[in-house]
Amino acid sequence: MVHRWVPVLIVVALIALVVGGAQVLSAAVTAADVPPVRVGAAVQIQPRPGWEVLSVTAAPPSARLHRGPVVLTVLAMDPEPLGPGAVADRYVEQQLGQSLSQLAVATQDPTVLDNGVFAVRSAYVGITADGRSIEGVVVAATTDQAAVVFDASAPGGGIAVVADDLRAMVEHAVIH
Amino acid sequence: MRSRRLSVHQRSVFQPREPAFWVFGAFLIYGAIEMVGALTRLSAVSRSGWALSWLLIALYAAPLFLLIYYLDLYEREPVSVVLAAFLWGSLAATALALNAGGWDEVLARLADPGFAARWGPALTAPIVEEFLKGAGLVLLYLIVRDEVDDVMDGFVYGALCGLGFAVVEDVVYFMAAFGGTPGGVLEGFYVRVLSSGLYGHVLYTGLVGMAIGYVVSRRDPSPMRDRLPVAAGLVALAVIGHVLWNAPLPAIAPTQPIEGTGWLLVPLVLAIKGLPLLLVVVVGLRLARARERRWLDGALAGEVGLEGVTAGEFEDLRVPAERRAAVRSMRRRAGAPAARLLARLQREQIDLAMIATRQPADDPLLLEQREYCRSLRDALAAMPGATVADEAAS
Repeated sequence: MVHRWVPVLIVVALIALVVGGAQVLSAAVTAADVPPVRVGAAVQIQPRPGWEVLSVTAAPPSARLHRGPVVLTVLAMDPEPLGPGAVADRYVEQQLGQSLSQLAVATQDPTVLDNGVFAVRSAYVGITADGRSIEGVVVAATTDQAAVVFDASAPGGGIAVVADDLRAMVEHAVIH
Repeated sequence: MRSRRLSVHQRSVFQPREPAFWVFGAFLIYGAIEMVGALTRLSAVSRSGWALSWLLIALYAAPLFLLIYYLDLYEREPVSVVLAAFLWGSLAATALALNAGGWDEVLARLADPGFAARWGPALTAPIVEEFLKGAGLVLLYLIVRDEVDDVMDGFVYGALCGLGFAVVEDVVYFMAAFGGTPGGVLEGFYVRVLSSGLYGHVLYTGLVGMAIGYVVSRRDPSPMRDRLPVAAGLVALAVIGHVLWNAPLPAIAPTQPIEGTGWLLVPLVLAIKGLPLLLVVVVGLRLARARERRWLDGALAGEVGLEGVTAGEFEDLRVPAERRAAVRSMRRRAGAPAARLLARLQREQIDLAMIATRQPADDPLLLEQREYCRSLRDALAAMPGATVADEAAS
């Protein structure tokens, strides 16, 4: 019976090497922990290990982070009395609608972030100006003092790979 | 008559005594949880586009599944095993490939994110995906060792595993890369299925399956040191074909959105990338089929005229079209039960060839199989209308 396990365990070990090796190596070659990133006066996010800051701007208050081909854009805005749905609609119309063709946006899902802030979440797909297909997720949140949009985008299938990172960074963002 | 097929073939993927069965099952459950969740999330983009995606992909996959299944003319593979191969490709391999996406991050770090986004699918995906699909085929072989007899069996299992992978990947692309709306899904179907549905994962994993079939062949007496280089060459061919397919070449390829003459250019460009490998695989399959016939001729040469197989039965047996014609003729003469019995006799005679290949002439198993074939023939002869003489009398 033992000899029947040997080839099976070799196959399992090789699968673990290919799948786990990707995660271990990518963590090893990407940068160490990055300090918290401040976006305007109202928003602060903590990049997860492996994420790097591409840019931070004061006007408009925004930050762009990436991990491999996945890019997370964080945009702080003035408070929106109509709620996070209106913020998401405006972002889709003014930002995504201008930069992507064949844009398709899923219905908004209302949610409450771990930090207690009301938000909406919706997935989208579209084609960039240079013809690349991308998928993305927009999360818009509002408080009395600010509104914020998190937009994560990646080539097809890329979002799923970093879904846990994105969830953690968005859910635990500090929004005043 | 008693059934003794289980001593020659396992006939089912459900082999709880095999450790590989439980490992294979565990990966399938993991893949099902991961991929059902991911595919369900994609449905949020457009319910109608999502439903259309599955409808269109079913129209493509169902006939291709049957075509591959019936490629092995001498011996059909057990349904549960071919379904297991398909499910490994569609659930386990896709989920594992998603979790191995970190190789793109390594590439992005070593080069830059733009290069990784453009070349990652060509440089990392072919190796990772072909390995993960091939690992499932190896596990499947470890579950049902007796069902992978030769190159053709390996191709059938490999191609069906690749088809499963392609089905899920296509739906993901329809929804995530082509917009997910009904219009986008139709565009995706044109590009990924109508223009290129014969070139992709079915071919790559079919080649990987052929390599596995060649290594574990029970019909080839050549030593392992001679088989391994050929198998390695087949795997390399699969990976190279996959690399070329995923590479952002040639430069004449139209970018999305596709407009005007771009629609005509798509199948042309995809044919340049995919047709050579398709032709190689077609030639490979013809060689594999000729190899099967040579094996059958050699294996049954000493059996013809003994109890197990008559000269007339052998002539029918070695030409698949004649085999089917004999069964059809039996159905007309003596009805469906007699036709089923004849088909069973033919399967047992293939098993007789298998046993004759592996056992000495006086081996009890071989004697028993000859006797079993004779008992089937006797039972068939006893059925009204089954013999040609009966037909003449009526």
